[in-house]
Amino acid sequence: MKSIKRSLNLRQAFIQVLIFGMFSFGIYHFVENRLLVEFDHSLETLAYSGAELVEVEKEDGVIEIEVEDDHAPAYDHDSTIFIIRNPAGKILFNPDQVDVENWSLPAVPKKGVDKQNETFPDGRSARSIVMTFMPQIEDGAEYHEGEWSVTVIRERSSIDEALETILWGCLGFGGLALVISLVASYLSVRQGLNPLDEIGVKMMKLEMASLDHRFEVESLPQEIQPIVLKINELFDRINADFLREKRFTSHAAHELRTPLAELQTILQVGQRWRPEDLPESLPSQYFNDGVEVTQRMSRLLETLFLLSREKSETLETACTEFSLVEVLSKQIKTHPQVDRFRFESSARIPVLANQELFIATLTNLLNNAVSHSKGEITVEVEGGEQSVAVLVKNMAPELTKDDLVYMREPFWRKESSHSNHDHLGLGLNLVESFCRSQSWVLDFSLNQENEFCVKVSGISKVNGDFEVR
Amino acid sequence: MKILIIEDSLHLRTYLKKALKQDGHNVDLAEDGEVGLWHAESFQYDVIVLDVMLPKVDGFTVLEQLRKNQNQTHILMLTARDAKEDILRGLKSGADDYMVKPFDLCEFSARVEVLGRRSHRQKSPQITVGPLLFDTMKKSISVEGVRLDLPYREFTILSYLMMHSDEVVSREVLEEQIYGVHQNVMSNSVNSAVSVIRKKLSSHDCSRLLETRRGLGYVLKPTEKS
Repeated sequence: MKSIKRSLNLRQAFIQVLIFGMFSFGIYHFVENRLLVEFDHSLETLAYSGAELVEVEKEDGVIEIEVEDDHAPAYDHDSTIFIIRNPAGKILFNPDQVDVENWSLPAVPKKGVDKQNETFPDGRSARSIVMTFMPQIEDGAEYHEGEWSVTVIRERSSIDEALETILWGCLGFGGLALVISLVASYLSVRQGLNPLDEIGVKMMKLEMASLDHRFEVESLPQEIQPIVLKINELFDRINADFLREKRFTSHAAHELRTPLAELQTILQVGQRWRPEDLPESLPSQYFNDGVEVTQRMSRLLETLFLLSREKSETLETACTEFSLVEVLSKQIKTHPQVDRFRFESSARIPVLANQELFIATLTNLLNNAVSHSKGEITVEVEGGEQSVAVLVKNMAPELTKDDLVYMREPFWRKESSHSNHDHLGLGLNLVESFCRSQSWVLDFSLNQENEFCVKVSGISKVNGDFEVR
Repeated sequence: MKILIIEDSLHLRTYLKKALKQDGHNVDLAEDGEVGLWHAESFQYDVIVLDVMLPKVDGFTVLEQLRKNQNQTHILMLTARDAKEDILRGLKSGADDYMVKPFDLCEFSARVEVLGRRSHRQKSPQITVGPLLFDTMKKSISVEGVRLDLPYREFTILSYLMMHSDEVVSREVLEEQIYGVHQNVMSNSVNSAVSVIRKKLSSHDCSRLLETRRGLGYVLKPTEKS
């Protein structure tokens, strides 16, 4: 399983090892370089002193070259070898009597100074410098034989020891620093990720039923706040869905269980009568009541099937051309409470839609308005360039803005007891389903005067550029 | 027993009343929470059958209001809401029993009986007063094994007196048992019913079990035997 903490720790450790390694390597080589420069400088000084030993002088008209070995510089003969060679490579100064037969001296460069590591015949490591030079020429003397060379080789154990100390120092202190740094980094990562861990633990402790839990956002680091805000939003949505589902289940249970209970009670009360005691008029009353209950249940099931058909997209949605105003007028004129409607429109307004669904939508809206209001009901048609909308308005003094949120829910009714069996609380659900199948838009609104308005818009006009599902 | 049904479904309340009347109970009906609350607070009932989703005032509020007012009547919640939290809410608010719709009528009757017995501090379904035996489940009263054939009114009065044996029961209380809230009370109905009961008892040689206390009411004495 991926772990942010482990991944961060591994990366931090890799980077720190790399940095500490490079740093130690750098320090070691810097110090080595500085020591060698100093060491070479001392060898060079010795070489320059040696170069001054060779003189070219004119004595009795003859040019002579001599090595003034009396003036040879002082040095430690156990650890240093000092040799002067003429241009032909012949050793003219070898105070330490180095056995050159069995040991090859460093080669002489054509010109200048050559420095390199060497090994003494006894195996000790050393550093050499070979420097070419022109001998000192006295006045009147002439010299044309080429450059001499001075070779100084010195044991370098002091440098190696110092470098070894530095190397161990780097490894020791660097390793310790690395360990401290790794621990600090681990703790820092752990502390930095603590809020995430805490949220993780809190989420693990959450129970399925505790959907009302919300995380405290203000105290969290700003990087995590958006995530936790989103989680809280998600909880809000899940909780709202859960409550909606719960309301639906509760309402559905009531709508289905109550008629079943009625039917069962009617039949069981009927069963109690002994045939000989049964009054003549009683069976018909029981049967009539039973039939009334089953008709109500049947109506409920039909509506639920209709909703289910829309959801499974098996609803007949084929469109035909018809006059919206004519259909609307006919529905209003044939309504039992025609006197309550106010509708004026002279235009024909041809539309393309499924006429049956349009009529079903209209019937539901008109019946709803009639049932849930007492006064006048206004029906309006709003025409656009490509589409048209139908508005049904009625006064609804008991309705509140909050109710508009729940209106689309199945079985929702303003009266929470659901006692009125004339309505199932599925009318607006059906209307919404029909609208969805025809790509119409259903809106509810409630103005300041508590006039409730249902608007079905997006009904395609025939002469417009429309799209029908 | 005197029972109040607060239920908004017309069919349910009508047929439950029929069933309970067949069981020998006197039943009052209320179609919404407001009327139900008024009935429950205005009259003495042995059992109240209460729906939850009621118009005007919901069942939970009715229940809470009754318990708040120290009303000790046994209440059976009868509702379509079967969620655990609804059941818990009902019981925690003071309901004595909870039934979910749809329900079996026999079970409903039995539960009402149990609550009724509990309100009369009787645990056994059979109540004995001297030689009289009242079987609350079979709805029969017998004297030493011989069943007394009593009409509804007389049966109701005698069964009530048996449930309150050795207590003086006033005429008004007995009238409440045999008449619903909306029924007109006949002035001598209790007297005539008691007279019929006495006749029936005397045929079994135990008419002196039922005494009249002038100005107070009637008492069924468990030890008396003529």
